[in-house]
Amino acid sequence: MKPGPVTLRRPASVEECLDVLRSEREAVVKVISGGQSLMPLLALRMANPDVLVDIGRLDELIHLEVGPEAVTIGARVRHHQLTEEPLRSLLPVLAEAAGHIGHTAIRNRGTIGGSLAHADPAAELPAVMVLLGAEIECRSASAGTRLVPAAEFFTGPYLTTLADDELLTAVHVRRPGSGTGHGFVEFSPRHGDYARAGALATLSPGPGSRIAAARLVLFAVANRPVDVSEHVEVAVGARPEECDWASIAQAAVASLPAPIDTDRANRYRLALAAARRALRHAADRFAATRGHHGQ
Amino acid sequence: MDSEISLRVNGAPERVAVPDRMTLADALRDRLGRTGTKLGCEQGVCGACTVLVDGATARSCLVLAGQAAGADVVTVEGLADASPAGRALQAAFARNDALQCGFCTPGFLVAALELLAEEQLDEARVRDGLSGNLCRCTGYGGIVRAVLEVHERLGPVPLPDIAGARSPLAVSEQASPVAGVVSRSAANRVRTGAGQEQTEPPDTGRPSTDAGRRPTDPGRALARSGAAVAAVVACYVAWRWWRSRRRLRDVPLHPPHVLWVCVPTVPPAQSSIERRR
Repeated sequence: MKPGPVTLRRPASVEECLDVLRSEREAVVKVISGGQSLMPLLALRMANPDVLVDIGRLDELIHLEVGPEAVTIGARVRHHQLTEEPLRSLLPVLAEAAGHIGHTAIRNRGTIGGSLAHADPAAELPAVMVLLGAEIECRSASAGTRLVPAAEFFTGPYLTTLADDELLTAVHVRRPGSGTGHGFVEFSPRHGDYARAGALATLSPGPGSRIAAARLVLFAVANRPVDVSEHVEVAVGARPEECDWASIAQAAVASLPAPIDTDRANRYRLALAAARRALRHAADRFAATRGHHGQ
Repeated sequence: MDSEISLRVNGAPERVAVPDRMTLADALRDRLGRTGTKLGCEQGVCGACTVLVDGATARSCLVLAGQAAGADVVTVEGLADASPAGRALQAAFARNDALQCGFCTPGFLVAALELLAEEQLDEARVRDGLSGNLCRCTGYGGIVRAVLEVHERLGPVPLPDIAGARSPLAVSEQASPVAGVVSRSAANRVRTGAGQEQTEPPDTGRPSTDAGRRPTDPGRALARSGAAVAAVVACYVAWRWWRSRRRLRDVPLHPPHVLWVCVPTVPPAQSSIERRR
């Protein structure tokens, strides 16, 4: 239960870090940030990198920029900071999801960039990024900066489009319109454990308090977050109280590939309940916000 | 590969050579002699190794020693000096029977200290806040009672804010957002970091408190183990003597008859020991 032999590099700036990543291309390299997912894998020897690049000294990656349209979150912003102000009111769905990650001591260390680059299929933050249509900023010494939509960033279990010499530096998230209702539901065997199944939903209001846009993402049911928003499109143009959320959730879960084993089948059952509840929570909040503005 | 790191442990500056793969927990226990921090699962599940790193709880088995270079670490040994609630919390744990074997206790004390900084605490919040720590003996009742008791008596006790670990995230204006989701002009961005880089351990002005009670002091350890052996031998001899007396006089298995003289209202036939047989 101890990590295997490894060389630890601790660059002092992003440029130095990118140089290290480029120079170590021959070796198996992992970037370590908070280490709250990677360290257990190292201890269990499921990950055996030659070189660990610790970005704990790159304080330039701890930043939050707020614009009228979007929010930029630095890669080293920690989970507990996602659950606190100002992000709590800027991106409530992100705050609620981040509050379900592990326990206090985990959230004190874990970072948003680390969670996204790790790409655990059962993790909350990748699903939030897919839900919000975020763009993920990747930098390398050779190719400079590129932005990858979250829907394309996650390619499989623990797999992303990050190149060997690339560093995830920030995420850019569109701010939800006022009155947007969100729902987050996850089922896990114990509090703070990995999710067995989970769902995230947002409903954005349009004219006449009708739904202008609806999104639904399921996680922990496949090898990456699954965007099933096309099955919620029937709700667009309707009032939330008119919608049959149970059958919408049913259609969304039915669109997943056929279960390969009983574990997956059980996850689907949980996902069905999670999707239904997430949509209902989103509808309740949608209504609540609208009522508040109407007064 | 070994590297030399300097950090502050319970207020005392330390400099130690550690292999790159060594965790902070192992460095604290094996290299720095702070064996109060316990290692249970070594994969971040049990919470026994919880310490304060720069004023916030962290699993020391999920932090590499190299990552803690320049950090201010507080272990259970330095808890009483780190916060005014530290000593009160330890006393409350003892008073409320919040420990049996005591293996999980260092982690619980550190986690509870962070919890005590909160304004509002009720049982549900305490149970939620301590859910990352496992105890296999007590059933948690005494632990929750102890934390609530200290909070009731002292009110919220904030932890010393070291290196801005608990300060809110600074916000800056996003420069020139273009069409699409985001600003693509990364060059003219104004960035605000939370906390400056530290190469030297911060001087918090606290004296070194546990330097004198390292477990590696050989004379003290020998004296302690000698006393323990003498105590065990004494107990064994006393037990043999009492057994031999009992057999000779054919006394049934309950305390000596002199006790019945002291408690005349309880007849020997109804004593609890008799009934159990």
